[in-house]
Amino acid sequence: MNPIAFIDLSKQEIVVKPIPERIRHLFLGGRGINMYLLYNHLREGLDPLSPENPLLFGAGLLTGTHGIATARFNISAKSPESGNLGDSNSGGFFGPELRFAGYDHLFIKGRSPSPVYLWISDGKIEFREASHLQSYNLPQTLDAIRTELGDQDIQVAAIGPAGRRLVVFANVMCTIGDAAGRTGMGTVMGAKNLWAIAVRGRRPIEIASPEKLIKVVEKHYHQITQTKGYKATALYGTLMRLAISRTQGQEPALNFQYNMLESGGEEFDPDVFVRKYEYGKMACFNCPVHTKHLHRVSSGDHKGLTGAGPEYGGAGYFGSSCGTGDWVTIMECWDLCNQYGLDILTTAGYIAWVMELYQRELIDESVTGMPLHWGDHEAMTTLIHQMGRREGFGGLLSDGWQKANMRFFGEKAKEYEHYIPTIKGMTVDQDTRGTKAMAIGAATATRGGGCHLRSRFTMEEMDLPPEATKKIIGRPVTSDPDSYEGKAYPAIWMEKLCAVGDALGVCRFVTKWLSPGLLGFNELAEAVSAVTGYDLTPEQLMEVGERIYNLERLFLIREGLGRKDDRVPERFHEPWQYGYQRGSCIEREKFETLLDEYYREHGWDEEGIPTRETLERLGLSEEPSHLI
Amino acid sequence: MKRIIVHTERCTGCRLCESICALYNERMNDPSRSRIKISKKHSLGLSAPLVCLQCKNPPCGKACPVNAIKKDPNGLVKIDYDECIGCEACVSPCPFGVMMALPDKVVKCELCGGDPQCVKYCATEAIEYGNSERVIQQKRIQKMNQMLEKLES
Repeated sequence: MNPIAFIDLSKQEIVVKPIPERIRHLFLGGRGINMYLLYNHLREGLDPLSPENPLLFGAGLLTGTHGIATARFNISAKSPESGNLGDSNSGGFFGPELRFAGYDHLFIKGRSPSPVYLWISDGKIEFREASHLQSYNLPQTLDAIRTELGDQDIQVAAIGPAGRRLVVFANVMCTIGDAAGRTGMGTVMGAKNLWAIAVRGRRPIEIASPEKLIKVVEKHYHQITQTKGYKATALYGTLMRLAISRTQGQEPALNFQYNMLESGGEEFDPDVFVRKYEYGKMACFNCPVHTKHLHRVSSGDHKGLTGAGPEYGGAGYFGSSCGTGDWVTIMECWDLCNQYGLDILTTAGYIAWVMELYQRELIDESVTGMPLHWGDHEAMTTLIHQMGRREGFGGLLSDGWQKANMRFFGEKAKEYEHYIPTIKGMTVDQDTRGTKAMAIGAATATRGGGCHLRSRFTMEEMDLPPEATKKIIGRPVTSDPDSYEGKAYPAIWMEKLCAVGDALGVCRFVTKWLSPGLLGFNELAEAVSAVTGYDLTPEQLMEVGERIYNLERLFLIREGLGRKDDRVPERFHEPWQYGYQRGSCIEREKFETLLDEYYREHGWDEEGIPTRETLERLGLSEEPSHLI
Repeated sequence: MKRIIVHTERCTGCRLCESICALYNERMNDPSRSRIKISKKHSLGLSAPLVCLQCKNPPCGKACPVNAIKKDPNGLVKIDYDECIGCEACVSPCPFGVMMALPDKVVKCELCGGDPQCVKYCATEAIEYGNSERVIQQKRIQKMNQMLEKLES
């Protein structure tokens, strides 16, 4: 297995160390080992923009191998956006190529005196001057580096103008359609004067049993491509969610004020997008699901608009949340974010927030400099330009909502906080009022933002009989999404699956996160065994997931977070107005009871702190153990 | 003869074909040792599979100084490794860039003994194992149907 490279940008020094077997067994790789490193190397209370903030790139244990859809890697650090746990995951081809280039993990610290990019090829790591990339946007940066190094098969992870200007929600992108978006990992790169990392290699990843792997690949490939939902997933990708949200009343309409967008009309449908604007599909490494869209506008005022996406993040949040159903507006906003290197969910969340403040006349044109009517194309695109350039009113948002809120309301800022729906400092990415397992998962999600990628018990919406959920996750769960009963266990089960998926580098879209017929712990254990020879039982794999989640929890506790932060946004206590789940909301008392149950199930005390016994059971009682 | 037929517009660029090829033919996890290659136009997100088309008159064979590249009775272009001296003279004449120069040898697609693995794992059927005649026949039928529809309307 590949080593980890410790890269000091201040001194331009590189130290390569093997990853101890014990760490592999406890945390596997990817997000797991990233979290180990972060917990062990980050000083409590550190400023996220300080050179000391460790920036971690981690490829999963299966990343780059034939286990299906093994494209993913994690970037982790302390987040400048939330001030807490920073962790973001991306697909594409960077993770696999990093491993082919000879490294599984990168630990980057310090700050380069002038802008640099790293060039990692077949084990060799070079620091290269990057100032000449100053005028490029993000996709141009990716291309420029490939051209400069003279190899189109190079994979690049880069920041754009927003990351270089330290906008706190800057992303890192690896292709025109792959981003590690959330928690401002691009900002951390910017603060280190590290503008990109280019990787290329021809080093094979060792396979314990190729014969076994051939069989596993065949089985998993058929399992994935023969599920009922495969065709729809392959056709609509994440936009499938748009259709579901619109018909079921789970739209984040007008900054989550409503659960259905009254305007928007029939055009606001994934079918319309696919028919009118899609010119192709894009897949990540080794993935038959190919969910990523490619769009082009071929007529009208915006003729020539071309790019990858949009995903549901764009359609739901630039769409419903900002009050429009116009695909062209959504696509242009999406493309602009990608060009500046801005996280789409946060950007859209901020636009929706200031639009609501404008709607309520809490801010006016003397502050905003322009009208901010819901769904206004001009206003939305102007705000993105301003955020990316740190100019004008939009520039006020570039340092995060907390500072902007202070600017708007001064001493009274606290009273107005509830207009921006956030959890642990991050804008939320799903409305979980009507689905209580998802709600508890979102409220406790370790990276904040009510993250649907930390725990989202999707089966909750599928009307599965309790016997069926028992078969899948080991305990019967009521088919009523609105019920609080026994909802802590499925949320925790899903946390473990997500954590293991990220530690292995496997996409959510081929696991039971998306659909019960897809890969679960059993299948993942088969792939791990064929690739690495580690004979982990599915139960042991689940325990790894639990361990990673507990370590993340320890990180949050160390940074001063706790029960008070395991919340849903204030707004989620108000009932949904439309749809078949009309009236659903998060009832405060019932939520507290569920939170108690969630802590108990986890083996945490009533403040949400893991108990001594839990840490001992998971082998975490010695942390930080400083083994690497 | 049956060969790999490429439908570029369907390719999503996942490179599972490359991975599978290397696993099957080399028993290794290293797509750079694959016989099929996905080329990309990164700025547009577009991809194209490139693989040996088993030419009737193969330029690689012509370039080989020791006559190690021959067509078998079925039309398959094969490298005879007993004869091959590894000079790589065959690499640049290939118009598709699919004579692959690996660090230790030159390889090309030899259709996995009649059951090309890459085709089995192409979810969008961007690569197909078949007869060109059948493909053009389908095209003719499509064209004819279009013309008939026009006539009817």
